[in-house]
Amino acid sequence: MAGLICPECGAENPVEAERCQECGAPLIEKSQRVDEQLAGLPEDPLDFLAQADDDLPGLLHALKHEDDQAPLTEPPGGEESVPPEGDEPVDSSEEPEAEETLPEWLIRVRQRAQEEEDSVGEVTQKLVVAQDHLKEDISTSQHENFSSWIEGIREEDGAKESEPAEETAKKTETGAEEGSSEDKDWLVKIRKMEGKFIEETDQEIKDTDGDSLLQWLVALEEGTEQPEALDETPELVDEASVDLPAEGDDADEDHIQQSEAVLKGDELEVTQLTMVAAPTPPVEQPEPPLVDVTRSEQQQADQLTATIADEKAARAVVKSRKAKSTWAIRLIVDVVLIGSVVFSLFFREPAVLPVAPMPSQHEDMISWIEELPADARLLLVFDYQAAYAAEMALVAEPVLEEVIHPGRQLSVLYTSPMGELLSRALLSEIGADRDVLTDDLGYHPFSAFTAYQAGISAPAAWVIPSLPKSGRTFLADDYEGIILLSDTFEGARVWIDQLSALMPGTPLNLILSAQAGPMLMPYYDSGQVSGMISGVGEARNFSAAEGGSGAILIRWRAYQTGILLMVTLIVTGILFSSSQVDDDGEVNA
Amino acid sequence: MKKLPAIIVSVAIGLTVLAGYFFQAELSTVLSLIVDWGILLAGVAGLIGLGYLAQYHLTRLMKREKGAFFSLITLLVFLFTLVAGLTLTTQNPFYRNLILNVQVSVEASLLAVLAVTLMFASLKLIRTRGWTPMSVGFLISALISLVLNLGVGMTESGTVLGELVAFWRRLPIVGARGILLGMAIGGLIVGLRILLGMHRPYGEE
Amino acid sequence: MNDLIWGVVGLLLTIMILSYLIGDNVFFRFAAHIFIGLTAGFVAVMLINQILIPYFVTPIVTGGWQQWLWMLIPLGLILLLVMGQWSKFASAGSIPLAYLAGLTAAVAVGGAVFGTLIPQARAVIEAFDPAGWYAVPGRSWLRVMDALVMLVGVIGTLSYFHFGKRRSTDDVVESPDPPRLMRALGKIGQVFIGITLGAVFASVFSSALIALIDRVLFVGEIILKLIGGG
Repeated sequence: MAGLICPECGAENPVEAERCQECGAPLIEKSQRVDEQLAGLPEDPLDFLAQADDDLPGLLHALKHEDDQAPLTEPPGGEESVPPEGDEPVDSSEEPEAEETLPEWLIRVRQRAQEEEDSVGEVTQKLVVAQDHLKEDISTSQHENFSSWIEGIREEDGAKESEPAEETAKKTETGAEEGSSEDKDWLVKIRKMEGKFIEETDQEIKDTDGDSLLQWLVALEEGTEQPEALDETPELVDEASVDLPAEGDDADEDHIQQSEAVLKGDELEVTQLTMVAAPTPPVEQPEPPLVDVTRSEQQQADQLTATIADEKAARAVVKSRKAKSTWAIRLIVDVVLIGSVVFSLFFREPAVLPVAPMPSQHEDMISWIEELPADARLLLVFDYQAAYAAEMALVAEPVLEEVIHPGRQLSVLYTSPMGELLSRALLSEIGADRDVLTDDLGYHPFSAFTAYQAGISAPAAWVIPSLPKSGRTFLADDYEGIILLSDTFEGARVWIDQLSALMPGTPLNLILSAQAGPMLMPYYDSGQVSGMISGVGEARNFSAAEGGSGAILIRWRAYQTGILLMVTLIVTGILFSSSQVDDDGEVNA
Repeated sequence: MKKLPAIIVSVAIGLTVLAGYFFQAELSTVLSLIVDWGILLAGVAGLIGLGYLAQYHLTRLMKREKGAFFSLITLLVFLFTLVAGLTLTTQNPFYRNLILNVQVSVEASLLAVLAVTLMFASLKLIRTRGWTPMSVGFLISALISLVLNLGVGMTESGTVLGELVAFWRRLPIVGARGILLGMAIGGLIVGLRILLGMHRPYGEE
Repeated sequence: MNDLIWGVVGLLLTIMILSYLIGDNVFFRFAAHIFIGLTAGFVAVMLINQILIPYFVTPIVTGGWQQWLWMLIPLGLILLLVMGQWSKFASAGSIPLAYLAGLTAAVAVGGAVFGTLIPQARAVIEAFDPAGWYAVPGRSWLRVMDALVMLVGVIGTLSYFHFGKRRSTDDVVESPDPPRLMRALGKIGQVFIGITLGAVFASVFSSALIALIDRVLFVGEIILKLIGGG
C-alpha cells in the first residue's frame, strides 16, 4: 500500500501513522500531510490506486473496470448519476463487448488475472482490491463529488465560454460550491494539487522511457498502436458519454492536462482518467497487433514499470525533527573534530616519539634493507591515488631514505594515472631523483596484466625476429627486490598473487596505506611478502627506530586526537543505543 | 555458430596465458605479445569509456537539462586538459602543477569528508546493525585496533602483555585469510568457467 | 609566487569540497565537476601517450613490413571493438572482449591458485608443524593455540560464506539446512569476519584522518602565507 516512507529508516508506514512503526521517528507534520489535504476523500482505496502505475497491465485492467463503472462517465444528473449501493456495474456483463476490440494477449492477461492470484503481480491484485473498495465504500461520496465537479464545469462552460482558464477555474469552484458546500474545499485542493503536479513533471513525462512504454501500452489498449494516441485523448473521448466542454475550450485543456497527469502516479488522477479516456469507438481501431506476451515477459514488464514508477513516485516530503537533530549532531562532530585537529596542529608542540619495539614485519623489512648490496637493482611500483599521497609520503619516506643510496639503480613503474607525478614528487622529496639512476618504465594501467608481464620476463628460450616490439623496455628478472607502494588491498593482492606464482624468489616488500594493511597481513604471515609497513601508526615506529621524521611528529598529536575522538564516539554510540533499547523496552536481535 | 569465433579466441588466449605459469621461458615471446595487445585493447576500451562520458555531458548540455551548466564546466575542463596534455606534454611544469594541485586537493578533501562521515556513522553502529556475533566482534576489534594504532601496548614480545598484544594482532589475520581464500575460490570458479567457454561475459549467454 | 598561486587554487578547491560537510551545495558540485573533467582529460592523455603510442604507433613506425603485418591483428581487434559500440554491429565487439576476458580469466585463475589458494592453505597447515611450536621455548602453548584458532577461524569463515542465505531477485531462498557443526562454525566465522572488518574499519578511518589532517595543515599554511604576504 502507498504509505509514508520513514525519513530515518526507510520503512513503509500507514498513511495515518504519525510515528514510524519501525524506529519511532516522527513521520510527518500535520500541516504537510497530503492525505489531510484531501479532506472528504476516503484514504484507503486511493492508497491502493496510487500504486496503479506500479503495475501497468494492472492499471489498464483497472481502467477497463473503471470504464465500466457507468456513473463516472455518465452525464451528471445529481443523485441520479450516482448508482445506488449494491447496484454496481458488473464487469462480466460488459466485458465481452469491450474485449471484442482488444488484442488477444490482453484478453488472456485479464482472464489469467481473474483466474490466478499472482498472474499480474501483487500491485494489480491490490488494485483490484481497491476497485472493490471503491465500489462498496466510496462510490456514493466519490461519485457525488465528481458529478458535482463536472456539473460545475458544464455550468461554467455554458455561462462563459470565452473566459480565460483561471477565471474558468474560479467559476467552476463557484459552481461546485452551489452544488455542495462540502465540494468547495475538496475541489480547491484537488485543483491545487493538479496544477502543481502538472507543472512539475510535465516535461519529464515526455522524456522518460517508462511513460513511452505506458503510452504504447495504452495505445495498444485502444487499438491505435500509436504512442501519440494519448495526446489525442480529447478526440477519442466520447462526448456523449462524458459530456465534456467543446474542443478548444480552456476547460477542455484542463481535461487534457488531467489525462496527462494520470501518468504521473498520483492517486486521484487514476480515477480521473476514467472520465477522460472513455471507451474508444470500435470504428477507429485498426487491426489489433499480434503480440504474444509470455508470463515471464509480463512479469518483466511489471517489474520494469514498477521500478520506473517507484523512482518517480511522489513521496511524502516531511521535515523531521529528527533530521534536524541529526544534522545538528553531525555539525557538532564536524566542528569538534576539525577544531581539535587545528588546535593540535597549530597550538601544540610536535610530539616526541619514544623508540618502541617493532612488530616482526617491520624488523624483516629493516633486515632486508640492511642486506641489500650497494649496487642493488630495485623495482619500485607506485600503485596509489592522489588522495593517499600525503599518507603514502609519510609512510614511504623513512623506508625509501634507507633504501635509496647512490650506486643503486631504481626502475619505477606506476599503475595509477597520477603515478608518474606522485612518484616524481615523492622521489624528489628524498633526493632520489638526483642521487640514484632511475629508469622510468611508464604507466601500466592494468595491474594484473603488468604483474603477470613482470613475472614472465625471463629470457625467452626462442624468439621470433619478425614480431613487433612495443615502445616499452619492460622488466628484467634480475631485481634484488621489489617495493610496492599501494593504497588498496586489491591492487597489492594482484601483485602478490602474480609474483608469488612467477617470481617466488624475488623479495617483495610492501609500503601501504593503513586501510590496505589488515587484509594483506596473511601474505606476510605465509611468507609471500618479505616485509611490510602500513599506515602512519606503524610508520611512527619505523620512523622512531630510524631516527624520526619531522613530518610524522608534526601530525602525530592531531592523529592521536582524532583517534581518541573516534574511540569516544564509538563508546558513546554503544551506550546511547543501549539506553535507547532500555527506554523502548525492545531488544535488538 | 555466431559465438564460436569469440569462444575460440577466449579459450585459446586463456589457455596460452595459463600455460605461461608452467612454461615461462618457452612461451615468454608469445605471452609478451598477447599481454601487450591486451593492454592496448584495454586502453582503447578506456578511451571509448571516456568518449561515452563526454557524450553524456554533451547530451545534457544540448538538451539543456538540469545541471547542464556543470556539464559545460566538465566538458571545458576535459577538453582543456586533453589538449594541453597532448600539446604541452605531462613534463610541462604548468601542466604538472595543474594536475597535482587539483587532483591532490580534491581527492584528499573527499577522503577527509569520509573521515568525518565515518566518525558520525560510528555513533550509529549498534543502532543500525544490532547486537550480533559479527557486530560485537567488529566493535571490539575496531576499538582495540584504534587504540593499538596510537602505539599503546608496544611492549617487548617476552612479556605477557606483549604476547597478548601479538596474539590480538594476529586475530584479524584469521578472518582475512578466510576471506582471501573465499575470494580465490570464487575467482577460480568464474575464471575456469570462462576458460571452458561455459560463461561468456563478452556476448550473449 | 608561482607556488602561492597554485596553493590558492588548491585552497579554494579544498574549501569547496569540505563545504560538503554542511550539506550538498553549488560550490561542492562545481569543484567535483572540475575534478571529473580534469581527471577524464588527464587519463585520456595518459592512455594516448602511454598505451596507444608505445603499444600501437611505435611498432608500426619503427618496424618493417613484417611487423606491419603482425600489427594488423591488434588493428583489427581495435576496429571490431570500436564497431561494437554501434548497436547495428554490436556482435563485432564480442571478439576483442573475448580476448580480454580470456586473458583476464587466465591471469585471475593463475593468481588465485598459485598466489593465494596454495600458499594460504599451506600456511594454515604449517602452523601445526611441531618444529615451529618449540622454536620459542616456553611459549609452545601459545603456538598451539594460535594454530587451532587459525584453523577453526578459517574453516568458520568459509562455512559462513558457504551456508549463508542467498537472495534471489524474487524471494529469499534459503539453502538446505547445514549440519549443526557447520552452523556452529559459521557463527564462529562471523565473529572472525567481524574482527577483521573492525580492523579494516579502524584502518580506513586512520587513512581518512591523515587526509583530513593534511588538508587542515595545507589550508592553515596557505592562509598563513597569505597573511604574511606570501
